[in-house]
Amino acid sequence: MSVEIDTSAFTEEAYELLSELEASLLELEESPDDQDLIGRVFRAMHTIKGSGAMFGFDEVAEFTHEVETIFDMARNKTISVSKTLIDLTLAARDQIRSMLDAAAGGEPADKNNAQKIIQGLRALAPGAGGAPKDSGGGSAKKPPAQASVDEPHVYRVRIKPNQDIFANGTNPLLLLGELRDIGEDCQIIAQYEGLPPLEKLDPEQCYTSWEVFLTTKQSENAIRDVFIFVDDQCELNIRLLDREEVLGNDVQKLGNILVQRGDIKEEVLEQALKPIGDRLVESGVVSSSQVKAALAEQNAIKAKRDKKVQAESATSVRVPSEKLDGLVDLVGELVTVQARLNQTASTRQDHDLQLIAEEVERLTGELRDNTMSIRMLAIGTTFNKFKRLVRDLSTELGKQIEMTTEGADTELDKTVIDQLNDPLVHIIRNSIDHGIETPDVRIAHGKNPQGLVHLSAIHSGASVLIRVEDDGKGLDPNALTRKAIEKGHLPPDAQLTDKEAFMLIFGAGFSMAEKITNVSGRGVGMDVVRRSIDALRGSIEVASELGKGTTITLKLPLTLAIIEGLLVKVADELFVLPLAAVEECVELSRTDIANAHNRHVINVRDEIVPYIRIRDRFDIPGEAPEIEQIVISDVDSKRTGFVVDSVIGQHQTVIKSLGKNFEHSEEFSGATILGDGTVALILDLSKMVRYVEAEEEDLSESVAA
Amino acid sequence: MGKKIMTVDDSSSVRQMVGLTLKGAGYDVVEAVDGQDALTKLKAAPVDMVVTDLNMPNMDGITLIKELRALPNYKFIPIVMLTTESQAGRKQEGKSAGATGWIVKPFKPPQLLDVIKKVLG
Amino acid sequence: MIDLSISDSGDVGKLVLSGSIGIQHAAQLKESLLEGISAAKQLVLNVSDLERADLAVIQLIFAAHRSLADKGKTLSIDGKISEAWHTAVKDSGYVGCLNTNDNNGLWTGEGK
Repeated sequence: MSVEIDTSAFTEEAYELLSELEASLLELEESPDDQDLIGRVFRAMHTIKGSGAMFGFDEVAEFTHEVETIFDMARNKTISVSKTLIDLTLAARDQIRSMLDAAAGGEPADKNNAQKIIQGLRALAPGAGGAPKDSGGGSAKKPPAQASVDEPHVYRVRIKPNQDIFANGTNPLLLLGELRDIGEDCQIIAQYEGLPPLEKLDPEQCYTSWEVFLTTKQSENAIRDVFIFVDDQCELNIRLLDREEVLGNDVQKLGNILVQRGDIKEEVLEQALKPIGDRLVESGVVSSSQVKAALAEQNAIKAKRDKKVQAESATSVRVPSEKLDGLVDLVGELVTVQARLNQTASTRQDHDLQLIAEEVERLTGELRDNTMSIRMLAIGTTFNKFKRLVRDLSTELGKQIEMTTEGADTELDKTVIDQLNDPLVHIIRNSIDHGIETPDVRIAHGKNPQGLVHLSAIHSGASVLIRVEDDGKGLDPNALTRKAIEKGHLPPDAQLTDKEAFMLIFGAGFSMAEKITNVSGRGVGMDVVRRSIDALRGSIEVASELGKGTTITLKLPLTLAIIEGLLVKVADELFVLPLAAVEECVELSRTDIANAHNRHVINVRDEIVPYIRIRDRFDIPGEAPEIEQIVISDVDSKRTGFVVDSVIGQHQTVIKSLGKNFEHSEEFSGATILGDGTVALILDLSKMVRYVEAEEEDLSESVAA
Repeated sequence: MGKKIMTVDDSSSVRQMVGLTLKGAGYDVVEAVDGQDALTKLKAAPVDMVVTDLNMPNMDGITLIKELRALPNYKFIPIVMLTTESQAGRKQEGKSAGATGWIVKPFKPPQLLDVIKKVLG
Repeated sequence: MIDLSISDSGDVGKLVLSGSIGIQHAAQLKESLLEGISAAKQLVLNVSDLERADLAVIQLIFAAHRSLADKGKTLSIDGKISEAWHTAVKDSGYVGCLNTNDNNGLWTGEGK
């Protein structure tokens, strides 16, 4: 047992809290009056500060203390949540992160920046001019005065403990004593009417309840905190008594004073004091039932969100991801062995063995699905990061952009999510920089000055579709084609469909930006997107309408470790095509080939589909059979056929990497081991098509030359 | 006469920190390494309060709390459990077992003393 | 410590509470109170050496005092009322709970 305190527990927790914090802050920006959110931010800061100090991260604790102090004021409604506050807190969050990184051996955090943030925050405090700095070290416990509001309030606190409250060691008198301690004046009145006669009284039960009148500068929260251990063991009712109730009618409400002074008419005052729902109903905009429904919805949403947050924090177990990777590897091995077992059982024609094999197959399938589901994470966290990105970028570029998201709870394999971050950053940056116009341009085009970026995720079969939509100026297919020809990416006579032209933006070194901004336009970026999505075995589709906007859809597999494949055969070689891309299989006879004059195309229900002969592509020796099979697949939004000798069938494909020696074989994305121990290569269709296209171009150029 | 508090934890660093903090504030401290150890020691010599970890070998904190509440001497004394933020379920379990309150780990000495003051006075 | 003694004549029961008395002694205290009230014509309470009392004690003594008052009897106080008792009355909000029946200042929450 080590006496040394392990700080990794703290840093891990802190990182997690920081990402939660960011999400809360962005939400808070949208609903700045949401006390729950303010509370969440406060608690996150509070925990980082408290644990930070305990584990010797004094710098972090001191810095966080400043932020916490401000948020305590927001919690107590001394100050309101402004954009400046959110800006500063986001900056503070980043600063805390770099402090933590620094402690983990990263670059030292910028102290001047920290100082700037602190000054900014202090300036927000009422009567600012710089509150005196908390003398170092003792930052864990703030002096109570800091949480206070200037004028003391009078609260009526009703406390009714459960009768059995003594049974868990609670001493109610201590709690009353605490109340007395936080108040300037405190009258405690016991209610003992419920106390039975001595003979009938259970001496170990509490029959007393209290009514306490407390004059204090502290907030209601501070009063509630006193009862934190017994909140489920007593009824607590706190009411802030109006000044009128306390002082009689000596002090009037501001509104009444205004009426008396003739500044406003009574009717106006009444109107102004009504809840917004009533005002809307009266002005005929909405009906009262609509308001009721809206209120119900509002409550439901709140309840749901609270529940979700609670459920997430209550029931999760944290496991290092390597452990999960190990588990997935083992399941992969098991799937392979199970295929062998099936094969052996059927060859031997042993009925008993076959029964066992079937049972093992069922269990393996369940185990596989279960294991995969453990690795699934909701994409929401990633979405939240982008909210921040959009916010920062739009400020930088002087654009007004609202980002909306949909399907944040869509789940994807952790590896996929991790690798999705960069491509999405590029796409979103591109949308903001090239897509969304500046407010004046938008107004000139009759658009809402505020641009919209909509990020959505949705399940579609074994894939997830992630969409980035903007309502910007859209892509011009002709301009794109011209640019590509100019740059020599395309032959001068190239004829492209709109879809193909849109895909040009993913070419290496292709940029439509006229000027290079900090954000994009350096011609790097979008080709990275394509490479990353390829590596994830996904595909990209672009739709755009000039003047209206652009939608980029990423189609990604749910998982990377095991895929559904289509097993095919060419001579004695076996290959796997990802089933997700396969659309149909058609026959290819010698006559068909002859009819097409040996050009590699086939007419499938009046559509000309080009194809690639696997046999030729990999120089596989031997004669092709009389009738071959074409597997028609969707590759980068184009239908392309792959010619094989025969189609064997669907296959659970456990993907094995090819290892260093075959790194250059880019046309394969991996290999898999079949039941009988033979190896099949997994084809990377998208890359294959690109290679063939490039070669054909070279060929045609050399012919032309 | 100082009040006597027992701290139960299988981690010596936590015991050390709790012990030093409490002694510094004028309490008498007895230590136990797990629930079983605590129960044996508590039966021999009474204390005014128990601060116990939840996850421990031999006998965990929840069981210890239940065992203590069944003893006449410990039916009503304050028992505070040390929990982690992620253990909301355990917190509830501990309260049902009879814990008076909790301290969320990790904590600093002042937070510990605040809680002690709250339940022991 | 809770100590009940009934005079030989059986007229006076004297209940002495000393040291720290709390919930853990509540059952015993209730028995002593009931026994003192039923066995003797008059109950005398001594809390002069009481060092600490909690809500359970306050509730019991109040219940006893109230039932005596209801029967037209009195609870007599022997010796001086300790500060600890007054503090407990004040802290628990039981100040003035017996109204006019508090003839010996047990429930004033103030030392004299």
